[in-house]
Amino acid sequence: MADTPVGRIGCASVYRPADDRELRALRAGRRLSGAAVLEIGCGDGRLTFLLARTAARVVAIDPDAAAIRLARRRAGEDELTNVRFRIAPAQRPGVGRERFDTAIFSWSL
Amino acid sequence: MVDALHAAHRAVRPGGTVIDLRPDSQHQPKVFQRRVFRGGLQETALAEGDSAASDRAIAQLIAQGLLRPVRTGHFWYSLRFPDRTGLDRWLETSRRLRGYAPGTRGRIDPRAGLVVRRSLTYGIYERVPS
Repeated sequence: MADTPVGRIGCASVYRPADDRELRALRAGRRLSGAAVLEIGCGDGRLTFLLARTAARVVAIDPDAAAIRLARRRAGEDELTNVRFRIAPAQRPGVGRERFDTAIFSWSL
Repeated sequence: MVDALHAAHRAVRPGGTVIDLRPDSQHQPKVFQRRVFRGGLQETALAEGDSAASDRAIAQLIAQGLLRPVRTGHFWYSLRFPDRTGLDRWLETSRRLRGYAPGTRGRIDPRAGLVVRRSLTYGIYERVPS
């Protein structure tokens, strides 16, 4: 059993799984491969960046503007081109007519 | 919560998938030290209420024929803390956890490292074509 080191106090995601065990537990690989994914409650993008490895595109929303700023900065640093972050509540994701293969409530329902 | 699920349902194509992943109120976090179980941590009443409301919201969409259950389950992951002070600090800032289960804190060596095993629950649902 791999442990999650608690290091960066102040960033809530340090208390969540550090690796991709959530996606492995969901056996989501095939489901997400090449998929359009809507992540609801992305926070600072911890899970988003894992999703982006296999999904064709990810739209990640969260009402927390500071968390979205951090996520956008990280996405820029990693030069991710298939991820879009939006400040939005789960009730109004603001995706218009865009349709997704999968929606994930990431600790947010 | 029901509104959020309806919004997700609208955003997902027919036959697509809605996944709900969140902390597990049915399996409370467990505290280990030197691989020995020392006790548990307790959720706030608010967190327990939120979990129950989320369960009801999912059940409502299933009853409405909008979602079809594919698979549910839970899994554990570990958080390491350098000592009891570190765990105390986490508990002070947690919105979900209110503290130690009775007797737990006294069974912990304050200077030794700790592992908290925490469960996440998930549900995978198919978006029913409407």
